[in-house]
Amino acid sequence: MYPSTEDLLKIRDSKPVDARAFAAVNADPELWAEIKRLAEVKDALQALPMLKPPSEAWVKIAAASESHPVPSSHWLLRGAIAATAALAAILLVMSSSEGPQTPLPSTTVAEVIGPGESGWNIARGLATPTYTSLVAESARLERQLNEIGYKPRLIRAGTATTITGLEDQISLIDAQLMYSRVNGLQPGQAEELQRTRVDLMNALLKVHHAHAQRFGF
Amino acid sequence: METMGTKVPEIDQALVVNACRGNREAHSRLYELCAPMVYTLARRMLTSPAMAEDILQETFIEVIRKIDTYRGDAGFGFWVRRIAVNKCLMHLRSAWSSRRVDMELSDVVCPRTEGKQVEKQIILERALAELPETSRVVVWLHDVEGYTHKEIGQMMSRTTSFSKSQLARAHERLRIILSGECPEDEEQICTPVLKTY
Repeated sequence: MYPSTEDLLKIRDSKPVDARAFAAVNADPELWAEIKRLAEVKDALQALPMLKPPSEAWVKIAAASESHPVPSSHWLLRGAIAATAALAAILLVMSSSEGPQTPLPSTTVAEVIGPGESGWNIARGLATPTYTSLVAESARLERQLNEIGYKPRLIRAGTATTITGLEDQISLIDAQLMYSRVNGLQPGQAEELQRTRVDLMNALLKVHHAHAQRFGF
Repeated sequence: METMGTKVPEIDQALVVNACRGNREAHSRLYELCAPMVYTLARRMLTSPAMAEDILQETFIEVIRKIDTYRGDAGFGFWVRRIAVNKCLMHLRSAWSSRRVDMELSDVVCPRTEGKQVEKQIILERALAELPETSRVVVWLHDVEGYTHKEIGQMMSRTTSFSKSQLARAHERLRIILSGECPEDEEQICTPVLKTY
């Protein structure tokens, strides 16, 4: 048995390791040398210097923490939902004015709905998605968004505004989900936020794909 | 938890109590003590100075606003660090954040180190920055900050095995980058990561 890097790292960190892997390491000085090298890299990473934060950062933080009251989770939730509904309406108009759309490259929830259905309805149409499945769907859409290879140099102001709006709304949801870890949410609110996030991600993907198709990517 | 890498400062309980009461000087002092840790952590995980500054600001705004929720079950510095880590992960989860990565290594050199030591650190900084985001985050959280694979898996909404395999991948890539090898199928990891947005 030839030990994997994971096995070598376990030995480096004094964690339990498969006996056969340990025996193989014991019999091979090169593997010990590799473990030593891995330990040296770890030491070198830990020895990297601390960095000085920008000198003016505290002034901005102090000003921001004085001027903005703590946002209410209900306000954020309602804001996000309202914004989603508004953006879904905008996208509906955009999709009808941009002509027929070709399907997205891989199977998504968006593929199985008919033209004219909003993103909001997409998640509603799922068979009672759990919080975990919504998180997974959200992550999958993130990956899909990252995989879009084109880098537009020119973009219409309207499209740019839509993209920025969607991204801002997703940031808002992310912030709200973050705060929820500290403060907690009412039952169902986290699911509602994740569902909204999935809708927004779907909408963002649609915009990017529509733009990519228009420019022949 | 073992303290490594970005040093987690020890914070006096009286200072935390004063900060909880809204004392501005106490807030400022907490910032002075914790800011280098937060900024360093964010720079290592995200590589971008601009994004690291965003994280610094967002973290301390949250620390000040939520300080009354600190329950004292871990050191205050660890509480702050956890907020910063979560914010970094949140940034990385945002699809568009990866498009605004830039890299400036001019301010990464510790003024106390000189010569070859500096050179080695710069090489390591660059190698770390060239790792894929997920691998970089995992290697930093595990090898430097001392989080366990289980904790990392939970923070990233992934499994423990995912964290282990990412750590192994990170070290395999670091080995290639640091040795200057550039196999054909790994060409992308040997190219500069300087990106524009």
